[in-house]
Amino acid sequence: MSPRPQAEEELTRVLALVPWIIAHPGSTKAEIANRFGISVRQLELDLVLVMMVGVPPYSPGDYIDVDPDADPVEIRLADYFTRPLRLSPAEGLALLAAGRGLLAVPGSDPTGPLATALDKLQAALSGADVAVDVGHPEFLDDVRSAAQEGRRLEIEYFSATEGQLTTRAIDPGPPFFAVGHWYTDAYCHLRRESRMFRLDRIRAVRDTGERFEPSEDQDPARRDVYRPNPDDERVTLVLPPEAAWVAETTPVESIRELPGGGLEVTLPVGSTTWLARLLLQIGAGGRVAEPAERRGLAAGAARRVLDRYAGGARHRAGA
Amino acid sequence: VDRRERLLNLLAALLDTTAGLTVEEILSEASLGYGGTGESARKAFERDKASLRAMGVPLEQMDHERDYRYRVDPKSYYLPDLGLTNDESAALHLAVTAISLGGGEGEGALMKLGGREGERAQPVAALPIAPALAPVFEASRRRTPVRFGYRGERRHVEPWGLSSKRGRWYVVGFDRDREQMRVFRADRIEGDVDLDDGDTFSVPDGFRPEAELAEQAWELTGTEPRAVRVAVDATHATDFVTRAGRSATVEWRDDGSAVVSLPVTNVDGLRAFVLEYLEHAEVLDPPEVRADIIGWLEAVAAAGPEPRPGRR
Repeated sequence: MSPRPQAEEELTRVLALVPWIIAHPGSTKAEIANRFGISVRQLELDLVLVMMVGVPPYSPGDYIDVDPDADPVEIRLADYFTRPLRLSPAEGLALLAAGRGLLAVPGSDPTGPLATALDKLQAALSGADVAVDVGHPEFLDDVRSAAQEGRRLEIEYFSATEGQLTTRAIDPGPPFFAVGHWYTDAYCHLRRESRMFRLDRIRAVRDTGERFEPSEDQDPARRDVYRPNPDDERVTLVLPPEAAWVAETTPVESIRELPGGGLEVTLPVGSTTWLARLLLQIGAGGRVAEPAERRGLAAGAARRVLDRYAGGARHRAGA
Repeated sequence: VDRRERLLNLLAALLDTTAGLTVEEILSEASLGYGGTGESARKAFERDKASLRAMGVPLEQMDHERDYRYRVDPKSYYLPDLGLTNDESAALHLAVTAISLGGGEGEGALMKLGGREGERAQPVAALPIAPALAPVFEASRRRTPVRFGYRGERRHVEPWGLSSKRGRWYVVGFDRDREQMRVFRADRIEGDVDLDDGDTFSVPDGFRPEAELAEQAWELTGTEPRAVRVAVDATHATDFVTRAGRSATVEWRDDGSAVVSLPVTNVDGLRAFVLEYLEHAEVLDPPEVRADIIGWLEAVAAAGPEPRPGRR
């Protein structure tokens, strides 16, 4: 999904907006520009371009008739570009995937306008469809309504890094699904800072009766599951080709392809436990390149687990 | 002449012709502005053809003496009217803004369907799409088998359906060489996907790709299922059991620890899950799975630098 050259990008837009204008005579420039996500100035430039388009034998009547200065805009005498260009496979897939994805979110209306729109789209794509499952953790609905209404919750939460169950009050943000789990970006009154909580690790929820002001922040960047702390250590890993999944499931800051199909990635690390776990999953084919003092982390963690296996055998013999 | 203007005029002329235009006719048409039939004009035309194809224009090429004729069939160029109501267009706009797929294709599709209707949504989910998924989707739609690299092997697959679970996209299909249903992780497809044009397959009625997907990583396609028992410390037992889900059977100990039995078909998936718990979880049996984990860990321990004396 690489960005397309600018000329192709612009033409794709022009080929989409011309048919809409033909079908909606009398629309204002402001309305069209807003609908297609461009400035009025850009729209005028697009219309100047369209004005130059004709077909053989290129007599005056063979050109698209449009006055770029007129507002509302009208396009006449075009027998071509009357409909948009068909969807590319990637576009058809993206629309279906996004639609099925939103329908899969608990609480979506399974028979509403999104469902009927997808039926029409699916019919146009000769029946092709995709299935999406985003799961439904037990307390998703409680956290979502508390986030909307600004109700402070007390939760029992299992922290995987600390390995313990804690009770804490949180001001939850709207839940969202990323890298396979539902999260809420919440203010934690126990730690006195914003924290990411995994909803499937919440064991119990209780309403505190207290209120907070729900955040109006809609910046998608804030929806990152992992917000690197400036104090986080930067660790560079060398990965074999079969461990390329690390680049997709962890918040890597840089990726470099190595000869032979491997990758070198740099990522922020807030917890050595987390890094040790990742390194054990990657296995013997990966290694820490920098910093030097972390090069022994994986082997050390592996030996600690092996110690347990050595002792565990004794344990069972006696049981 | 502005290149965009030339491309638009070229496309209009190709849509307007039924017989097709020869390269000579295109290059010598003054209004298209190629400026003659010389080498540089031919190169410019080659670039324009590539751009049109990259935009998804169905450009037809027909033999003509020692050269070609070109046309664009309006029937395959034009998007049929989906007949969407304003509510339906607004719902698609919400979906494209709520679900992040990691590319601009959804927005591009909205533009073709008449631009943005209604409001944007807050982001709700990220389901990033791997580049290999679009050609596989197209092949699935056209019922055409595909060939791609996967785990270092060339696979020949009938893509019956696509499905997303746990945030990952899977291709569910019939592996023609292995003559079995298989599930492929889309982000692990290596290199280009080739479509077997001309060949077709059929999908049984009522086939649902999601039904082929395992609930858990250790239930992915692999060996015959075997029960694997894992001992988990009291501190991590509840978390482990919650995540292990319905197919696990649990034996609780008085100290709060647990022995969890899992039906495992995929040892890679089991290993990744158990290792998340570091020294707090231990595979007890069967012996070959326990040996697999120990072997994996010994390899990691051996690959590391020598432990400093006294540290272990």
